[in-house]
Amino acid sequence: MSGYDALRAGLVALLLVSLVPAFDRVFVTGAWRLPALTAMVAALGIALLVRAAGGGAIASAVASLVGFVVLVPMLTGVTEGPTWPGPELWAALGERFTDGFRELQVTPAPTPLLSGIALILVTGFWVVTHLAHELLVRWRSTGGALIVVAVLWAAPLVVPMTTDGVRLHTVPFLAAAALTLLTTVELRPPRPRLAAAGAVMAAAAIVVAAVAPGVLPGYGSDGWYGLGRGVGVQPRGYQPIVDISQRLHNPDVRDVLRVESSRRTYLRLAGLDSFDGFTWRLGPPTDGSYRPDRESLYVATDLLPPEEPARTTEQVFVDIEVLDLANMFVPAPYQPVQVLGPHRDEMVWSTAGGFLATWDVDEGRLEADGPRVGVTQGVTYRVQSEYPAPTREQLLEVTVDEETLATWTQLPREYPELAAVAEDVYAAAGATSTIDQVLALQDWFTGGTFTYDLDVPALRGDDALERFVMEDRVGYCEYFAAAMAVMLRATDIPARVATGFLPGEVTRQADPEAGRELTEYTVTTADAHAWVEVLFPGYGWITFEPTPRTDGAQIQPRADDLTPLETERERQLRESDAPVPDPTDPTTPDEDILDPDDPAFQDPTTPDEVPDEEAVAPVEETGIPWTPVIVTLLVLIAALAAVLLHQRRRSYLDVPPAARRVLLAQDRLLRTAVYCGLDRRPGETMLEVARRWHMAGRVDSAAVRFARIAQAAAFGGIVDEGLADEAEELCGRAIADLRASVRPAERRAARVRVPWEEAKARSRELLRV
Amino acid sequence: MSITEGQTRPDLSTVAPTLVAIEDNVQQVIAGKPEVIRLAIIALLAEGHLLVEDVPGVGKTLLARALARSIDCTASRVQFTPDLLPSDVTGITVYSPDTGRFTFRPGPIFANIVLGDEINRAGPKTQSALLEAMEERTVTIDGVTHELARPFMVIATQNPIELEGTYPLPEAQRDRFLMRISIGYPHQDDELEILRTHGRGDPLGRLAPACDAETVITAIDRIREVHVSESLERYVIALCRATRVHPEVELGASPRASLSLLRASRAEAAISGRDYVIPDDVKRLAPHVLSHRLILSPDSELAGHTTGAVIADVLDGVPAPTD
Repeated sequence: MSGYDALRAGLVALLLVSLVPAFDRVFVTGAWRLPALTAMVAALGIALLVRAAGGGAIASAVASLVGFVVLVPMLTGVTEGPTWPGPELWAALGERFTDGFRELQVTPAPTPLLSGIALILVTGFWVVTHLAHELLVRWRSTGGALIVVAVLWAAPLVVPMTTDGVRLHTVPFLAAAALTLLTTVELRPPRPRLAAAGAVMAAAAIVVAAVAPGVLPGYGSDGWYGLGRGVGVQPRGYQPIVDISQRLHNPDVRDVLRVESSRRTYLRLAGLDSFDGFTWRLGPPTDGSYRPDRESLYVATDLLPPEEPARTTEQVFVDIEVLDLANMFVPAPYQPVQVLGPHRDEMVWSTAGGFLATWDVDEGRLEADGPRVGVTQGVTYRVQSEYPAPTREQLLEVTVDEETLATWTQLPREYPELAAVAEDVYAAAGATSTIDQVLALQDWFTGGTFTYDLDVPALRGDDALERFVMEDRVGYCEYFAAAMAVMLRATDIPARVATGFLPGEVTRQADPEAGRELTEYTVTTADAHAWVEVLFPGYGWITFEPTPRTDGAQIQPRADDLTPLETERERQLRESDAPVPDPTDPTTPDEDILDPDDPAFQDPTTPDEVPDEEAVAPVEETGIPWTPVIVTLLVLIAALAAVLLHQRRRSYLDVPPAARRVLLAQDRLLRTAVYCGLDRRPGETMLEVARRWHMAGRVDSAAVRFARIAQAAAFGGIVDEGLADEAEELCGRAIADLRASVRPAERRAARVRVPWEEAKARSRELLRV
Repeated sequence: MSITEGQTRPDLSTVAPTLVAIEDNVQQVIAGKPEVIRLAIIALLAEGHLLVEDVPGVGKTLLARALARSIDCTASRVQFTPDLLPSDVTGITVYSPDTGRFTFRPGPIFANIVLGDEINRAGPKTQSALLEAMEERTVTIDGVTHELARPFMVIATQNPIELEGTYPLPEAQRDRFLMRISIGYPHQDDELEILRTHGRGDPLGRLAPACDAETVITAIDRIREVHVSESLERYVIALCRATRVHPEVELGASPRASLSLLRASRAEAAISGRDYVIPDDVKRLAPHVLSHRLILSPDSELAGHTTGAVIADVLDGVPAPTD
């Protein structure tokens, strides 16, 4: 490997490292850097190795592919150790890629390093590193390499950013690109034809610009939307579920709403109608980005039609002030009847999904491309809601017609295990009616079998829900709501997941004597929540709460008036005065039954411990199996070292030992010169260099004598052991003289100065051209 | 790379002193021009021919004769004029009435060192007769092939001024000369020296031969064996290729140029007492061997650039080998 190759390879690494600030904006933590940069180092190492061994571009591509298949699954946690390519690996990779693209569509930035996203990220770094190496090192095409890296640079641009963000995103990359241009563009003969080269590069850049957004993940209609504080940034998809874990994991707990309310109530954003096997979402499962039907939208200036008629309701009044939030969905108690306040002109009520949202409304008419982030700091509004409050008896009478049932029990596939668990729970509770079954399931989730914890892996894979319900039994609201809703649907009970905020903490009690009828609550980011709603036609969507959070932040299903208070069995038990049996878990083997008094079983989230630093860990950081990765990298480094060493020695292997000694001494001398900042001009022979140094007073005539011996050794003169001894001695003197002739500070500065001066000379020539 | 054990090395022990003796000898009559003398000897040893481009009166003829005298061989001189015929150079078959037979009367080319003065004054036909002889080292007249003498060297001169009525050598012909040199005016002190020595009669008359032709032939044969490492061969090729892609050059150095450069470099190494060529040899001779073979593009010629500058540029840019 020549020094020039090494310089260019270093530039490739520099270019990719310069992308770190750009990608940092995408991720919550810096955990993405390790796998991505490891992939960069590995891809660069493989490409260099192949080139050093004399392999061509095709050999390089094949080697890179093999390296990718061996290393990347390990780096991204697809496999635990080195795996030979086979159907299983392909399937695993394919599934992970599919996951990744879905994650990119539904996860807001900044995102935790979800494993699918990690795979796409690492693949991107790998491919771009390889291409950049081939272009810059092999084909000496600086512009081509820059275009390839620019594609990777452009990928994080989907995330909206502030002015400061632009600087951080752009400046390091531009600096690296400029350095690359200055140090690599060939200006010596033949001179570049700037016009032609510029035209070609510009054309290539335009093609890339046209193609890249269609190819890059995250671009297109199903884009990411930033939860960002950026005002005026439009959401690119409207899936409200995606930001719950984001809010919950955000270490920076902020107050988002100040609520004055006549009763403690959940502040709902939207109901998620469909489950796609991965996440609950608004709208039909096939739509990536839900756009509600115009028919179901009503401007909020009038009384709002109910999403579902509810016969028995209680009135709720809330005054809401938005403290720090940027959202298109308007938090409100379910289900709103009327919105008051200056902003109601800009709100619409959707009877599909039952949500209030901010919208561009022109004189009462809905704009075509209307949704916008209107719930921002300073917005205040009052909502009057009618909270469905049927009695148990009323709910027992409910019947569900076939069509409603078919609509609200759709699932992407059969969930036989979950259905069986649900049936077991119903049987154990003796529940036969729908309401009893729902209550039984709610009790089962909150009754001690499950543990609430934010710091858990993401729901991933086709059997994620089964694993959660039957094995792990640890999670947070999203998990419980998703699991319960799926289990209800699997047992033919119409259900959905709702998202929104918990009631929040009381910051000022109502004081009727002082004329204050309403209690003030403050809602923080840590109050982001998801729960279950079950449809009882005629009585509306009733809220249920499966999350076993014990800090009192949520409305307790049994203690508060969230759901009808008693099941049939409880009522009988109460009437017969018998003790209420502990909720039993029909599917848990006896030895697994946990004693709620056991300290080990205490809910890790204590009341005063809202998500803190520890809970901030991303949903699923990819576990890298470090041992095989390190072993593979070490092997790679060793192979590279062996090839380089062999190359260095190879040319001297056919030389008699004495001559070899002289040539090695010559190498030492020339290296010393480079380290002292005294470079050899390309056309200079050893003798000329020695004479020049001699004339400049850096060395004595010994160096010239050494140069003669070195040339004899190099070009076929007779060099015996005695002459070699002499040469080594002369060389030692010359090296010492040379070092002494340069001030130590200059010597240290040389490593910066020499490339800098070269760059200056190049830019001068560039300007002259 | 280097010569491995057991490979034969040319015996230069007698060659180098001989060459130095010739050099000293010629210097006695041509003062202050050691470089020119050295180049002339190199051309002789590399079996090449010399094109001297210079104004009259700087000692071109003297150089040729001194060289011939120093190695104890024959020298001849042809003054090229527009009416000079090819047979005036090569010789002619004449009928002898006494014997009643045709006999060959050799022309001036049948000498060891031939001085072709103002070669650009003769017509192309005569020029090419000379140049063919230079390349083939034989002359064929009336179907009979006559071997030329050995060593054989043509020193042709061209007057760079007074171009009216001349036939400048075509590029293809110039390529046949190993080197093009110019002698140049002597230094002030040397000119004074010339006045004094030449004023006292013909200095050539006092010049004793330093060696005989046989010794020179031996030297030529041994010099062919001077070692050239692979990296140097590549270097020579790289230099020639660089002239072909240089933006100011219309026609670069031919493969014959690289052959010539290598041959001349071997002779240079031998004169320096080495049995191996070093890059410095190549660099020193490259301007002389290559400059007359390049044709600059019209633009750079108009801009007043010279082939010498192009070659200096190439020598600076092409990396010289160190091992």
